[in-house]
Amino acid sequence: MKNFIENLRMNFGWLAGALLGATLIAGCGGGGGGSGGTQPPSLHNLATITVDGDFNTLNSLFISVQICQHGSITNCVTVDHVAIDTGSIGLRVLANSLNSLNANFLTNLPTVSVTASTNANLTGPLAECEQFGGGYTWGSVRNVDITITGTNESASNIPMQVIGDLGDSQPTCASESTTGYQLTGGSNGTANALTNTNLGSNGLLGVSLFQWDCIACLTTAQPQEGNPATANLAYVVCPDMTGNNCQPTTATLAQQVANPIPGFATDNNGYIIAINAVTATAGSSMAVTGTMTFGIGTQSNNALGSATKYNADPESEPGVVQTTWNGTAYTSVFDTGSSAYYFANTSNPAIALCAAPYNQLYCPGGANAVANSPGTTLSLNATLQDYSSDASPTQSLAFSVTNPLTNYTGSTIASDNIGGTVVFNYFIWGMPYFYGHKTYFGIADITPSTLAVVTGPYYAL
Amino acid sequence: MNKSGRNSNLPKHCTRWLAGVLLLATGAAHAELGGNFASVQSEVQRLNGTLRTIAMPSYDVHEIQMNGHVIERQYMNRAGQVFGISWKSKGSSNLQPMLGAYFSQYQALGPRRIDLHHAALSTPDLVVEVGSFLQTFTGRAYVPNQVPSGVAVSEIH
Repeated sequence: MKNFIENLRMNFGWLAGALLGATLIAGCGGGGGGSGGTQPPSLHNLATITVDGDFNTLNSLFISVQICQHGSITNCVTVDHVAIDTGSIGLRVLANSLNSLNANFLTNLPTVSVTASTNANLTGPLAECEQFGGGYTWGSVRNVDITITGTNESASNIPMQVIGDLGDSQPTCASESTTGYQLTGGSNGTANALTNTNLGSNGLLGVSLFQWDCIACLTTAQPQEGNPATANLAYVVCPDMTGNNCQPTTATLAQQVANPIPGFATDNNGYIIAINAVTATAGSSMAVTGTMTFGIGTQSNNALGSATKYNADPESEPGVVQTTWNGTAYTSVFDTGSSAYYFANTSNPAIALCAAPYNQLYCPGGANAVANSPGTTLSLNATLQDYSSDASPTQSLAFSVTNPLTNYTGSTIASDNIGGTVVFNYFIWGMPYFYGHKTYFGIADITPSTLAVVTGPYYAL
Repeated sequence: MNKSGRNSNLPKHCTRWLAGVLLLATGAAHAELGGNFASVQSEVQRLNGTLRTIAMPSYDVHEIQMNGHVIERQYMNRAGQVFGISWKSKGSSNLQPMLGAYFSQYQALGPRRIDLHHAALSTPDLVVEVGSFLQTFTGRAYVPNQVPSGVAVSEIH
């Protein structure tokens, strides 16, 4: 049992303190490259993606990305194990990972520069504070050319965030974070020991259904959010590149950390994530691979075909659709950045939760259940609709939730049946959903020059 | 141009709780865990929102709306004490004013990060769950031993 719990802790980064030591720090950052997989000639829009448990993760979806100084073909690095996050926007990479790949890469990589024309008060390098539910990222913003490894898909001159190059914390960013944790990595470019600050990857590839990071930042240095409206730290200018003496600033769209896909030449209106099925209740202890295909309806291999499209909210709450679970309609998303299904525990009788401190996870059958005994895996259903239920198609989606403490092994790295209660007022189709499915993500407001079929934002299954 | 972004065209129904609250006099009652009806009213005023109260058999739900959106719910037991609170906001939610006297405990113990978008703290005295998607932040907090008997915590939503 100890192994299971340690594993669960390990997989979810649920442990403050270095329980596991160096043996679990996965090797990574060695240059990656070459994950092109098999693809038809002339259709270079398909990348291999993997869930391999690296960085001590469960259900993290990784891709490899080549990053070059804008305009350079020599100052480049290929960063593997970048986590695909459909719940955020933009490429964000650990400074330590970049440094371990090429000690000179960052040295030679210019920051986005805030000039007098964009900010009347201060000039200098641009940096960003970005909030995630599990912590925040903090670091400079630099223009790069991004190529998805193994494809011809490139976006030129796209700002990315370098995480952690301006020190380990930013007080205002920390105070505005729901956890206060800066998400970072180890100094050798690998994961942190098992702490709450472990990013769990070399970086994030944020590819939500939208292009820009902060529309409000166009006109407001600290966007006013909420009511009463109060200032939120977002973009800052840091004249001496130390993280000290930074001041909030506006940022033009060209300066903002952005989803790189709309910057691709033609396959820029969305993408398709398809991952092999995981069939064992215990999940997989081997890497599970899949493909990320760029463009929708732009090539012979990315047609929408018979997939059903579910329109996402373009405006009020961008990117959400609706899922009805146990008779209640919930705001809902498809999020590869979530390691589990998350939904309210409204079943009758309620689904058993794991023992504290893991009691935000479901453990059907209870903590003392015998492995794989009846009742430890539940077959469930929820119904998907557009964000507005008017004239929407509907589809019942089956999913299962098992007791991970009982049924997983110490080496489970990919599973299609873990669920939790965190975010009780949403229904999150997290990574477990994606195994054995092909999911289309239609990006908002992008109309390719050829063969455009529909415009986003939408999901299609 | 699309509509995403921290602020974009979203209803401004969200919260950066800290700034507005700390400016008030120290000791003023706010809508917070462990608070009372006066603190609920003070929160409605602060948010310039509207209050709708839903009576349940063993507790009341004080629901604060802005522009037709529910942004905060406070769950008050028959002793008049707020035993649970939930929220949803565009932009990260500062928990300090919502957790009130429990915030120092939350900070001291520290939540566990579950994945990139979720974290939670679970102790016998305090449960806090937070999550995010695309810069919308949501969460809830409750005091387990003040939840009225017979009430499922899934009712705090």
